[in-house]
Amino acid sequence: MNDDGLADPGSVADPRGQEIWTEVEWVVLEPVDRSAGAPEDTRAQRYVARCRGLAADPVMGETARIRTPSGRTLQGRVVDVNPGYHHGFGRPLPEWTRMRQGLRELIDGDQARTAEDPEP
Amino acid sequence: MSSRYEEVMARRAAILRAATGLDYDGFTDGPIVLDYEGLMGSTGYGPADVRRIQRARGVGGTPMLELHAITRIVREHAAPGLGARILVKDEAANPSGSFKDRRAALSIHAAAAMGYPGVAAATSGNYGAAVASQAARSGLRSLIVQEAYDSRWRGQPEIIEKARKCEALGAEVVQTTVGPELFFMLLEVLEETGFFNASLYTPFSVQGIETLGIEIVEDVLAMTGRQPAAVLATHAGGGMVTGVARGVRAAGADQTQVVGVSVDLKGLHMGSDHDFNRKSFTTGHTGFSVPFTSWPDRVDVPRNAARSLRYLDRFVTVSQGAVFYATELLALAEGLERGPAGNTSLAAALAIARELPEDDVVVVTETEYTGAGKTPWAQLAFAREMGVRVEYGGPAADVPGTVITLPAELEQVRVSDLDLDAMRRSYVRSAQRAVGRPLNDAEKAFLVEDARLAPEVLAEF
Repeated sequence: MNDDGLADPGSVADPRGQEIWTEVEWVVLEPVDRSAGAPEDTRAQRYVARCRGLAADPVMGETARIRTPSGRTLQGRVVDVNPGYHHGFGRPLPEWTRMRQGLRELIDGDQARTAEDPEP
Repeated sequence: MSSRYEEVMARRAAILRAATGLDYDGFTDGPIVLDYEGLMGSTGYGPADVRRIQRARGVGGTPMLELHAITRIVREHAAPGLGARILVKDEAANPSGSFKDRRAALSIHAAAAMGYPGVAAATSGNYGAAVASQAARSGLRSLIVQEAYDSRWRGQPEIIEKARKCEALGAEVVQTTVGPELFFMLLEVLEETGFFNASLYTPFSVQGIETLGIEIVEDVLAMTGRQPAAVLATHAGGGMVTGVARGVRAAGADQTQVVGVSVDLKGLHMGSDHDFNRKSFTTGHTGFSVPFTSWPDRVDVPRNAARSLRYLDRFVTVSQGAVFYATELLALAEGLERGPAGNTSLAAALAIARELPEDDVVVVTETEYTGAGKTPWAQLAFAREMGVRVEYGGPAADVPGTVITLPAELEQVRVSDLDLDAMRRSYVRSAQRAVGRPLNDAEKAFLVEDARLAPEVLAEF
């Protein structure tokens, strides 16, 4: 299951042998090779990259080669097969709802004052 | 033994020369002196060319919208006779949803004309989508390198949305963890692909914004018969401020004040793995604008064509909470649901318009598209997930990375002025460090020009 709560459609290779949209990850720089200009907490970490492209028979956690949309070939560890986008809106916070209520009142006050002449 | 990082960085000058097609060496004399107008003129495109190229690509000519209800509300909270008219240039109407299409249009036109097989850019912002969109229109491949995640693979939702949009428009997107090595990644990619470096900071990019300044003056003149009293430009790397100001001046507006506006993120380190996801704005903030203003040449081209000290008449900050307030006000009062960037300037407009006479016109230079990951709702939910407190009204002020306070009253939306003279002095100190000796006369003369520095200030150094 992925985080949409759906069965992951890409966990098995496409039976027709077609390439599959795949996300790979690779380590670009080990901590020791990182820029001296990076802050300490950042330099303690590896510098890692991810990219999406088409791969034949990708297997989660295994190495794969992808063909990227710009025409490059990249190699990395498969971290997602048929990767989606999972950003959204989240739940509204009560403080945000209160701010909206305050704005509503501000605007209603303006509308009442200008009911007869909507242009300033 | 040098690392791969050091080896690539040592080749940076040659890589960048090959990837922009511009002769920066012909306009520089050492690390400080720059023939700025010479460099800007070296693109070979004049203002009429830029407008024609942009229009042919569906860029520019965006609506100028007067914010009637917001203007009335501001006046209701201002002293009698005060409360300038507020107008906004609806740059979200550009093909990829932001003013960044203006920057990309000329860059990609030039890249195609010079025969590059594709274009690359390092950006986590709307500029990536603009490059992808314009490259698609030219039949060129595009590649965006994006700083996207902290070391625990948590991604700022706004950045993830921008990656999605790049991929939707056909770009390859390389996403990295936090770090200044993004520039190194770009250099490697440029070397491997032979692509054009569609940097935000080339003369092509800044010239592309000049049309926005020209249109603003033309639109405001047609709608009000006046020059704008102030144009409010969200300020990050300096491109918007520089390009708009050059356009405003080219259009003959000599009475218009150019105001840079940034979200106050004081105290957060932009390169820090810990701080990365504790900000609710990914650009248009002081983490970029303050260092870029006082030392513009910290960029991915040999010299920066965006030089904001040359043009800034005023530089103010607003709080994160104030921008969320302005965003919701724009949606509820004007029926315009727009993204965060222009709303930074809109928040400042709510405060600055209250100081100006009713007859004056204040222009917010941009809107941008919004949606999943980009709205205040999404940003606030993420901020709380990251442990940032969100409060409503009350005594607490914004403490970047710790507390976001949503205003309860219009009066709580304020601007704080940053000290431009202090930034000018900081620029001189950085220049001295860069040359490692006392500045010579040519360098001093350039700093007076580039930082709009009072010559007597140099005697302090």
